[in-house]
Amino acid sequence: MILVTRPDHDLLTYYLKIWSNELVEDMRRRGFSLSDLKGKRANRRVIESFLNSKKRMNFVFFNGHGNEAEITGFENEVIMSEKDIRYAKNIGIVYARSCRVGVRLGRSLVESGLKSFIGYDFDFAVFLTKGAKPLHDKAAGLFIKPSNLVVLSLLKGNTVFEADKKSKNLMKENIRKLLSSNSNKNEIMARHLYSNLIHQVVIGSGEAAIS
Amino acid sequence: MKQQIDNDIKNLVISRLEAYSDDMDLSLGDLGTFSTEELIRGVKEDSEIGHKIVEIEVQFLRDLVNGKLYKEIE
Repeated sequence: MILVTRPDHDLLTYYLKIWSNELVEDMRRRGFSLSDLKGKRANRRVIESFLNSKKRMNFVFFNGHGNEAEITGFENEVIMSEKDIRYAKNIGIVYARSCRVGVRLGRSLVESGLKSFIGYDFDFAVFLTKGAKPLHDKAAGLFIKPSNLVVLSLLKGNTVFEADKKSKNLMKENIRKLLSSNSNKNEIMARHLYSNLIHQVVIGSGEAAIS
Repeated sequence: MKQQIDNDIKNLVISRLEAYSDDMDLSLGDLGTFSTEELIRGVKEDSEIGHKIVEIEVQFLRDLVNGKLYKEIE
């Protein structure tokens, strides 16, 4: 089973929700059993019901905000924290598209039985073009597409190590293009994409895959 | 305790921020989404977003100078 959280209470979470549509469609197309918690449904009560159900979760994909010790959902309610590490054995892979969760919570989950964690040990940066529609925002795409690739690769059956590598390769390609364009605006975006690149981390087994 | 940003570094980062495009905002996780003006104010006022921006800018410059950046993106 796959669990996805997609809160949408601010501009960044709204962007991530929209950019995740293709990922959710791919999950459905591939026939995965899926719980897609969009908007208000990305809350603690619903997450807790899944955690308590003892259903095996092969992959959990969190979109939203976070910090070293917590992942948040709709309106920044804490939906997973270090109090939940007892559930870690029941989860295969977690990808947290959230800030800084790789510093501590990701590690705690792996130490408690999660097979593999992918996330960030710093703040996840995205440039947003004023007034653009999310999927037409090319600047945002440079940042979000490489992170989507983590999920698309895992869904294809790639290992965590391969998914992380493919995602980073796309970030590197985007950075090279931005730096070679002789444009101030592009160099600025490259600095922040570089930050995402060096702060995307894998904790636990790189050989884990969605099974 | 949060350290104050060194004035030379602050001025360097502000001059780099002034080159940011006005048609884009930077979203940095749960800190929020910021215009160029707000980022510059953050650096001047030593706020949390100011510290983050300085960290990102300094890391990039350091890795550019010591060659790590080009190794990373090879």
